[in-house]
Amino acid sequence: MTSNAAAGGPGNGGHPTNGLSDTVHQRNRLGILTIAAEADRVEVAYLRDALELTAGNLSRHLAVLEEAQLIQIERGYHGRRPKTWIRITAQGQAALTAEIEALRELLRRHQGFRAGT
Amino acid sequence: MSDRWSTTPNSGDAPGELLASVTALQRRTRAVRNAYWLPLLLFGLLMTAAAPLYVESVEPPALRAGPENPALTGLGGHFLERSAALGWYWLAALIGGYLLSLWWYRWHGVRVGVQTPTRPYVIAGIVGTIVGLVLPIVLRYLLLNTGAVISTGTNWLTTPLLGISNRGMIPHLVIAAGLLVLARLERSRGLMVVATVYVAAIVLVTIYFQTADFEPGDLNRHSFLLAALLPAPILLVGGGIALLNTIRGRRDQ
Repeated sequence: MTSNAAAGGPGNGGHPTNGLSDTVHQRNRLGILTIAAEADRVEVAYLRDALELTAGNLSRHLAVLEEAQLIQIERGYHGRRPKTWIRITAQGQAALTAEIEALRELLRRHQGFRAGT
Repeated sequence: MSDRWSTTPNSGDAPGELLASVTALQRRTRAVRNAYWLPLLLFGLLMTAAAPLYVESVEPPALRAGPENPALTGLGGHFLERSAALGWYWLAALIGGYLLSLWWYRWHGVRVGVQTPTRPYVIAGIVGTIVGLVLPIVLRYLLLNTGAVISTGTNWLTTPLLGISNRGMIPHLVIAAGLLVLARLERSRGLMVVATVYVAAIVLVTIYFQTADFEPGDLNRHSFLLAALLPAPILLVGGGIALLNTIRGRRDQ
């Protein structure tokens, strides 16, 4: 797995693909982090609807992100209904920022290449 | 680009498409969690409900030093006939308004599944209310009890602030502080625009009172009322538009 922080990201002169993290770059995990970064906490049911994922699929992605310490999972109850909430960590916020910056840099290079040909 | 998050395999590898999807997700999540119509309408209504306390029974003198009221009524100003009642009203209204907004955001967050951080908003409300109570005392001390150097040097700030305080408009500033913090927490341009126009209205009223050279008789029974009520329609209209947008957005889903 490539870490954005460890790899030569776009900010330190390496190729922008070095700034992409395998954990974060996966489309659905990028979606989870993007939504989590927009709020204090996000409920799993909202993530499932917004990303159009099955419960099992979402659960696997959440486990990967939690293991990488990019999110925290909070389980609780609202009345009698069990609810699971996701909270992005500072590490997750930094990884998401680095990923988006790397994507922007890739896009800039791609557009520059197309303009030059 | 569709607003829905595409999960089709091999469709999202292009950086441009991924970035566009990220932006669409951010926009959608913000729209879902935006709930600022309630604090806008609530504080607009609380301001309107305070109107009778700003009306004088007779034409006020240009500058009236009111009776000594308890420190907890400091939000009610010093020029007004019903300063004490207005002070108690605003103390209860600000505490109640912030608590109700806090409950609303918690409830809305649980309902839609996306929670807005509210701690900085509540802190803005608590600190704003405490500062609002202490500020008139500090301002009067700075203007009247300090040496000429300090008094003259801080005059540019203390005089307009004391004017706002004396007209019972410190609560308007406490509300402004909360709304500006909320706009940042919600990452809402709409709320930022409403809060900025609202602050501009308070500044305009202050400039008018600071620059007008009032003679006895220039102020009538409703002068302080008009000053205090001018910013209220901004909150009510802004809240109304935000509520309509929320209803329309829900209908479109």
